[in-house]
Amino acid sequence: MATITITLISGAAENELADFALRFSEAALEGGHKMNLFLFGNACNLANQEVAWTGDRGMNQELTDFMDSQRLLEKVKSVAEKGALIHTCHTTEYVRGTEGCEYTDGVSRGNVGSSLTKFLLTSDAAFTLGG
Amino acid sequence: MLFMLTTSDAGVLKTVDRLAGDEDKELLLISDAVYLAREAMAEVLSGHSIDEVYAEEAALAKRGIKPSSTCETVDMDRIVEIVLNSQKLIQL
Repeated sequence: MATITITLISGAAENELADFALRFSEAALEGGHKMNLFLFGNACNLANQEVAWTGDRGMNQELTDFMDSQRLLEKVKSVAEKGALIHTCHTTEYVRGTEGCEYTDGVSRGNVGSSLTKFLLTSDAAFTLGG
Repeated sequence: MLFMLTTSDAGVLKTVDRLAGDEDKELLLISDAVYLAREAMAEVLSGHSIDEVYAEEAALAKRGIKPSSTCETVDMDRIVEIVLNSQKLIQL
């Protein structure tokens, strides 16, 4: 069994890398490994609970379905439930104005100095994904 | 050295060469990088002395790409194994 850390710097929708990181995490966890995910840069937007718009969405069903295919909140919850440790970088949240937003279950506030450093020092493999 | 490529831009292979130096080179193609797995790109890859080329099965399927015979199609379980076996991993 190994411990793997991914420092993820891409958020949902901007490319496929956040989705890849979560699918990788799921496979690693199911294979008996431990996963750490550090949500850095735009990836910090994966940390928060969704806030639904209550007015007219202005999207038809086809567009809604397409956009739904890129939403990753349920996958974040799923890998957290399966045991992944998920921490954010609060500084990158601060600069995006989301530092006070509520986290989804399984995500914790973190930082480079302690969270990421601890992840890296306790990992057998680590890589950065995104950009 | 394992390079996880995410772009279809073959120009990134020059960076792979520079970073790898004399070390063995393996490519793991994910996302749009799986376009480099096409038969038409086999000659380009062969010019960079790549030891192994892996392409993510789901990314290939999503784009309808049939990989060249020199490329191993890998699922996520195998990708986890490849990552854990790598001594150094760089995403480009």
